[in-house]
Amino acid sequence: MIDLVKISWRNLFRNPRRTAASLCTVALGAAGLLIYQGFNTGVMNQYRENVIHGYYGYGQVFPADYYGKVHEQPWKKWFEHPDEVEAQIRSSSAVTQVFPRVSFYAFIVKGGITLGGKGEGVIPDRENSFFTEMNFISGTDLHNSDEIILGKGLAESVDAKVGDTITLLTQTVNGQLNGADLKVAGIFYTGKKVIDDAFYRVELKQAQALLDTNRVEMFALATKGVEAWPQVEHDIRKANAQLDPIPFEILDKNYYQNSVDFLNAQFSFIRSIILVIVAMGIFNVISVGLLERAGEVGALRANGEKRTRLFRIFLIENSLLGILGGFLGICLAVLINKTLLVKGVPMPPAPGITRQFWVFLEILPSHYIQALLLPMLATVVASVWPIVKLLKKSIPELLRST
Amino acid sequence: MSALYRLKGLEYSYIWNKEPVPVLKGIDLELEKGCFTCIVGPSGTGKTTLLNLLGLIDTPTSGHIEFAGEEVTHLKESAKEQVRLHKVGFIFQAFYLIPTLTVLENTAYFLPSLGYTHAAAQKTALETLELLGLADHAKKKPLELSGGQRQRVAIARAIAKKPMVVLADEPTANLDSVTAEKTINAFKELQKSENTSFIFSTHDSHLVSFARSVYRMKDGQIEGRG
Repeated sequence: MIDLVKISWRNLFRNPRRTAASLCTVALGAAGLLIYQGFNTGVMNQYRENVIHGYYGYGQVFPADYYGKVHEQPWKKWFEHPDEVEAQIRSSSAVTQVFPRVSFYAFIVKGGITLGGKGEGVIPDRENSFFTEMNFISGTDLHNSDEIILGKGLAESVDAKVGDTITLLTQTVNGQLNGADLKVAGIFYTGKKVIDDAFYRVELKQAQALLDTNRVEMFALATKGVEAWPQVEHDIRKANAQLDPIPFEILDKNYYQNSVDFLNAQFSFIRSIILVIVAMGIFNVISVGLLERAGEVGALRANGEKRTRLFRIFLIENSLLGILGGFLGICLAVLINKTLLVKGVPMPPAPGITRQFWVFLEILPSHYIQALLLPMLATVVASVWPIVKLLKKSIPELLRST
Repeated sequence: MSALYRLKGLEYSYIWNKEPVPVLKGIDLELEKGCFTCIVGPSGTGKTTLLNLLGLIDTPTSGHIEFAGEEVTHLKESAKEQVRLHKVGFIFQAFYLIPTLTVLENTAYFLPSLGYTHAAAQKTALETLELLGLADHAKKKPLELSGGQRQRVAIARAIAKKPMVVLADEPTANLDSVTAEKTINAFKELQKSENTSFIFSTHDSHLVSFARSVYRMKDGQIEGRG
C-alpha cells in the first residue's frame, strides 16, 4: 500500500501545470464551500442572537400542559407561587437570569380611538440588561410602572407619540372591568406586522394590578448559552416536573427554525452545484492526463500489471489531489477570512431587524472536515469514469493510443 | 531443444466497417527455448500482431497457442496477467517508462508483485542495472537519460523479473547505431547468462544477424525461415 501511495504521490508531479490546474479547481471549490458555509452559520448565529435577545431568551418555562394550547381562562393555569417557581428555575447552575411575564388582552384608548391589542407585563430592570435587540424607533424601554411601550402600527393607529397618555382597559381575572392611564415611553418595531400592529408592554406589577392577580404566566430565561439548554431543561424538570421548559427555536419555529431549515436547504443546493462544478472541471483534466498515459499503462499491463492495481494507483492519485486541493482551499478560505472579510460582510436588514448588520464568517470544525472531504469525494467520483474507461481498453488499443 | 511456443492455425482479424479484415492467416510455428528469434517483414504484415498474441495481450480469432507446454489461447484475463507477470517481458519501441520514478524504481516496479521484499527488489533491480551498465544512473529519472539508456532501462524492467521470454517490438528502431549495438550486446549477454528467450519483430538487419532463427512474414503468413 505504501508503494502505491508513493507511486501515486509522485505521479502528481508528472505534469505540474496540469496538477496545478486541478488543484486550483478543487481548492476554489473547497474555499467556496467553506466561506459559504461559514457565512451561512454567521447569518444564522446573528439571527439567533437577535431572536434570543429580542424577545424569547434562550427559552421559556410554562406551566405544564399550557404552551401551544388554547385555554378559556388561561390565568387559572398560571404559576400561583411565582417566587417558588423562580427559585426552582434558578436551581439550575446554567440559568443566569429569569424574566417573569404575563400576557393579556386589552383595549387601548386615546382620544376617540379605541383599539384591541395583546400585551405583556414584564420587569423592565431585568429585561433591559438582556433583551438588547428591541428596536425602538422613538423613546426608550419601560422605566416606571405608569409607562407603556407600543408597537409601531398600534401607535400609529391610535395616533400615540412618546410622552402621550393612553388608557389601557382590560378585564380582571374575576371578570370585572379595570383600567389605567399610562404614559407612552417608547415605540418599537419588530418587522413582524402581527406584533407591530397590536403589541404593547407594561410593567409586570402594573399588568398584575390590571388583571387583579399575583400569578405569573411564564418565565423567559437567560442561560450560559445555547449549548446549555439541555442541562437547563434537565435541571428544571428535575426540580419540578410540573414545569415545561421550551427552547427558543421551538418558540420561534415559524421564523427561526424555518429560516435555519431554509438556509440549510439553500446551502445543500449550492453545495451540490459547487461539487458538480468541481467534478466537471476536474473530469476533463483527469481524462486528458489519463489518455496521455495510455501507452505507459499498456506497457505495464503487457508486463503483467493488474488492472486492479492500476485502478488503485489512479484512485489514490486522485484522492491525494482532492485532499491536497481541499487543504489548499481551506488555507485560502482562512486567508480570505483573516484579510478581506476581517470586518465581516455588510448585510441589509434581516427580517425583524431595522438596521444593517455585519456578518462574520463562523467556520466550525465540522465545516473544515466537509471542505476537505467533499471536494476529495467529487474528485474521486469524477476520476472513476475516465479510469475505468482507460483500463477497459485492450492492451494493443492502449499501446496504439500514444 | 524443447519448444517455447507452438502455434497452430493461428488466425487474427479485426473488424473494419462491419467487415473482418484478416491480419494473420493460419500461422503454424514452433519457437525454441533460450533462442534469439527474429520476425521480419515489411510493415503491415502482422509482425506486431503476432508478437501481441505470443505475449498474451491479444486473443486470436482462431487457432491455438501453446506456451511452455501449456495451452494459453483462451485463458481468462486474470490468468493471462499471471502468465505475463511471471513468464513474459515486453519491450516497446517507445520505452514507456514511468517518468516520475527513478531508474531503480522503474526496474524494480514488478518485483513486489512477484513476492520480493523491498530490499530484495532493490538488490535484484540494481544487479540487473549493473548487467546493463546502468548502475551509475540508478537514482536518475528516465528523462535525464539518453534514448539508448532509456531503452536499456525498459529492458532492465522487463528482465529484472527473470521471464522465460522477452518480446521486443522494434527495440532498436529509435536508437543510433552505437546505442543499438550496445543494446544488442545486452540482449546477447542476458541470453547467455539467464538462458532467456528473445523474440524480436524488427527491420534491423544487424539485429537479425545475431538471431538463431529468422522468420519472414508476408501478408499475414510465414513466408520462410532463414
